Amino acid sequence: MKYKLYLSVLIAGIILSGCENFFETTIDIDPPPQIKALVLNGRAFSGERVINFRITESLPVLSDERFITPENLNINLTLNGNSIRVDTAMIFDVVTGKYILGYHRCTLPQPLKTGDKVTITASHPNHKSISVTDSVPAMADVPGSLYTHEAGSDLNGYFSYVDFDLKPTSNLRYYNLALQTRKINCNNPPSCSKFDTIYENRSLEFNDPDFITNGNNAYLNTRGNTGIKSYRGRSPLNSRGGTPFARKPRLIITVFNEKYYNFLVSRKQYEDASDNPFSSPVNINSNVAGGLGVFGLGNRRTVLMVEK
Amino acid sequence: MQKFITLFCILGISCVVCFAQNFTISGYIEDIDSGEKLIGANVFLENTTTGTSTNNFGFYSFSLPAGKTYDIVFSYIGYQTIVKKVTLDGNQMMNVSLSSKVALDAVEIRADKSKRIEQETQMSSVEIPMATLKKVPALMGEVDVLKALQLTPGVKSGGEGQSGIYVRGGGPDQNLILLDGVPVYNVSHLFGFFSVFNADAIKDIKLIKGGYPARYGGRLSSVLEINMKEGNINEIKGTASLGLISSKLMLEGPINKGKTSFLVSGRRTYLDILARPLIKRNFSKDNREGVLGYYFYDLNAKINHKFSDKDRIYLSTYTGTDRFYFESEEKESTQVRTNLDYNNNDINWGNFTSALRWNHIVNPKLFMNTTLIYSDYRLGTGIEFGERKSGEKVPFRETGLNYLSGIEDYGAKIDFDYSPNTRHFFRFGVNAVYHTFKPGKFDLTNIDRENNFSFKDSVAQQNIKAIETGVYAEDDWTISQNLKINFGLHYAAFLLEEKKYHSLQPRVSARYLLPRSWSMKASFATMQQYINLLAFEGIGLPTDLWVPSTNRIRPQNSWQVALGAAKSVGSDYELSTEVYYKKMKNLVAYKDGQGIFQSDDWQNRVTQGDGDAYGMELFLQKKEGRLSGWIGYTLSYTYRKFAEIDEGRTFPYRFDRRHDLSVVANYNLSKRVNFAATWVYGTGNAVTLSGTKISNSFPPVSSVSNGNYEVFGRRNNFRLRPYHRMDVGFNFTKQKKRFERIWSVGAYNAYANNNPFFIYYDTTTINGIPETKLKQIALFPLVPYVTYTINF
Repeated sequence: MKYKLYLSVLIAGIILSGCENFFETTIDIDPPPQIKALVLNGRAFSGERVINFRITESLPVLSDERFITPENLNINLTLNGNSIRVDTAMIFDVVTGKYILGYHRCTLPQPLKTGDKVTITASHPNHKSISVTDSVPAMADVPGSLYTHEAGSDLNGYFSYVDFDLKPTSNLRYYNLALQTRKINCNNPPSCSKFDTIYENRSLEFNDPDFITNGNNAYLNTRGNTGIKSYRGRSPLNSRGGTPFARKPRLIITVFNEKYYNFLVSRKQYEDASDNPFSSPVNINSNVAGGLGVFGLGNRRTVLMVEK
Repeated sequence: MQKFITLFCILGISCVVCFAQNFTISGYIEDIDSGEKLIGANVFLENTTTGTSTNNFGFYSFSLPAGKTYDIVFSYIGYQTIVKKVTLDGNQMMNVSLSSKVALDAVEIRADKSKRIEQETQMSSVEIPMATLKKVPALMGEVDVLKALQLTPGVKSGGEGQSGIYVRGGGPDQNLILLDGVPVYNVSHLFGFFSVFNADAIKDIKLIKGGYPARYGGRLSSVLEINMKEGNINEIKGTASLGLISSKLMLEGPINKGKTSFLVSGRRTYLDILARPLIKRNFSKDNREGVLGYYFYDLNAKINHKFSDKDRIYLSTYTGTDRFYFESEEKESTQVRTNLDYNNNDINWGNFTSALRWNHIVNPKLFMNTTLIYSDYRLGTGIEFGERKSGEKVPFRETGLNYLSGIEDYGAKIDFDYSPNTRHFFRFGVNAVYHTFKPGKFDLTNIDRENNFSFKDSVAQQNIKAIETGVYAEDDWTISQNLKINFGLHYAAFLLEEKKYHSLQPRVSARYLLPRSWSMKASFATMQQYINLLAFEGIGLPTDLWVPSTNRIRPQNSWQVALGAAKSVGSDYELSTEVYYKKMKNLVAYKDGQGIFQSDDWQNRVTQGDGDAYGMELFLQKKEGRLSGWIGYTLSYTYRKFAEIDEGRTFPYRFDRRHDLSVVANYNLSKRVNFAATWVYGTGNAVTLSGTKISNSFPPVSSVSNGNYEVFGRRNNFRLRPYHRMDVGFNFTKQKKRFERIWSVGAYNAYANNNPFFIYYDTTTINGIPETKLKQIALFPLVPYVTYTINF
């Protein structure tokens, strides 16, 4: 009799050990406290006459509220020490069906150029004041056009890949490269810009371990390098399954200051980490004193590619 | 380097020539029934602290002034103590057999008045008798040596149910785990829930957390020595057990009685077999056929042969494999040429280790052990999917991806024990290991037979070969009756094709006897580590990758200082307390956002930094008696600092556990019934968690956006809930005609506490409104177990 009991216990144990839910319970817990702060996001590039930026409030991570620009903001923007009028743009709130306070816009007396310095300060009764300053960095000395080393087509005759050498003649430090070309056979013309950044996994691949490549863009961390480097890039532009691209691509070089560049790198790392549950978490870098977010000025140049 | 070699030679020569005026008693101490050699058995002059203990092969050597008569005591925990009167008129070989007291009195075992904790020079070490360990309640009844060690001060677990150990703020790769002298790289089965060490095959375990003797090297935080049984030299014996998830069988016995013995022990899980009908039925519901399963097995085998009183040889082998497999295929259709898809996945990983050891007694004072080792860890992953037409066997479209990585070692070492007199005990030796690191190889196949397309490619990170060598010398020196020190030097070199690293590591530890059975102990040790584990913190995944120091990745190194006190309380209790500080440099960690499952060069994904660990440990242990067990408490602080992590700020290590308390009790209710219970409490692990989110939209924007980034603040800014758990178990033993049977029943996490395993943000939509909550997954609320064991 007792052996039947033992056997029953054994069998019950084995069955229980196969029940996933028996071994697992889920409970709700409280997250860490919120960091309450104003958040400023904005950027502008050389040659542009308008600076757009948006100030919102941080939210608790569990909040389902939307990010809305708070009222009673006191904002000041200066260009090279001269105060510029700040206008407000309204945006549409799909929930309420109304236009509400959206972002802020400054129209500059002349386009941004190398060395221009912009400072934004903002204060609000419920938050610490924030302040951020950035200036347009010098452009690297790169040629106006690049001869491609090699370019190829796929089985359908569409542009497939390009090899090229980028040899800057001054030291590039913090910059972003984007390879662009035109989409062809676009079925939805309003959504097809004249030039479209090559998307998804059509990345630039450089023979340099410091490169972080991601979809559209390649970031190069050259901190610590003092010499001029030469880079060879390859963009595998396989058009299979997507809208095919035309030949004659162009390269967009954007130079940043260190803090904004660090923001770009951390954002890239953040997005990569979001796809990988086994990676360490990433804090997105900020250059806003007293708050969160980022404001950066870039110097941008377009380099045409010429097939040999 | 030259100075060290000179010192080493002087030490070696002086060992041989300086102490020739004494006679020596030497021999082996063994179990009277099985002939199993007893490791760490005490040999000492009665009513004194003068003595020695047996080495890993049960050998002792004890030199005393000639011409006198001595009462020599031979003792070992759980065995009867023997006193022998010896008149030293020449060197004597004296093999001693001790009788287990368990056989005489199962209820109460009297503690020996033998060598006590305060007399040992070695500090920061833990030894748990296997008999005690086997009675500790365990998850699903699987006795686990590593989990038992987690119950001791200074040793922490990675998380709920995990068998990995984190010692004094160190990482999982900083433990040198030796099975019969061979390093074992992957110590986990079932994603870390069980260790690979089968308790039935193990004779002895010893963990050293600091004050490392010079004979050890290559890891920063601990040395765990696990010695397998040799096998009963006198008669065939065995153990068989049937548990919830696995069954085990161990056989041992003589091949040539008194000369050669063997031991074979195997274990396999069988949930995959039991669940197969259920899984088949589930596949059938989806009109598919297939199998899904997981199992692990391990096998230990050992043969030893005694050529003469002076020469013995041991061959031991361990092999173990985990395999997870999933095969699924659409059922055959009656319609001609219907496309049927299939999907096969297989992941398997495991170790193979082997050691060939030759013991030779050069003379009564000099013992030599030569070891040849082989260790191999490999991980293989295979994914295949494709389509075939019904009625055809060959798929018309198929894709395959295979991944292989691992580490392979060949090595040799020679160790000498030299015991010239009662004041000195020298150890010296040399070792070399040839490592082959295999960081990963991908094979990709893509075949489309309909379109005559075929693609095959192979991407491999280059194997890295390296030689790691070490030379050491140490002396256990009794300066006076009260003062004893162990000092030594360990020289290590790591030779890569493009880079050579060297280090000289001094080690010293001392104890000073005080009145009333107290002693003070202190130690200082430096360590250097040339291999690193790229691991995801917390879970022992098979994808964790062993990689070497390279041109870009410098070796990890540390120094540790410890100060402690020890006391025997009465005849049964041992009390020890220690404070320690450990400084670690060149630790390896993934950069922000980096982790496993990425294919680029691992060196691009890691960064190096420093670590600090300090704390206090308290350990009260009762090894014998009707009630045995221990209470361990640790107060600890552990920090990390990396230039490329958390903006270069100092942050708490994930396993920075401020308080850690363990209570283990083992009580013999009667000769047949034993009750055991454990209770553990630990501060929650530190994890990085966001409490804030910010907008990620850049103007100009046309409408309100809810896209966001989470702001984490500091690294490891959030504490999981404290961990506490009680396990209880009973062992019912009964002697039958032909065998002894033991029913073990109990429960893991007896009061079903929801201990954190991991946490995550979960968003659900109720009535169209999304709601986000922070969820904590807790594993194993009250898991009962039952195990049936027979010893024959």
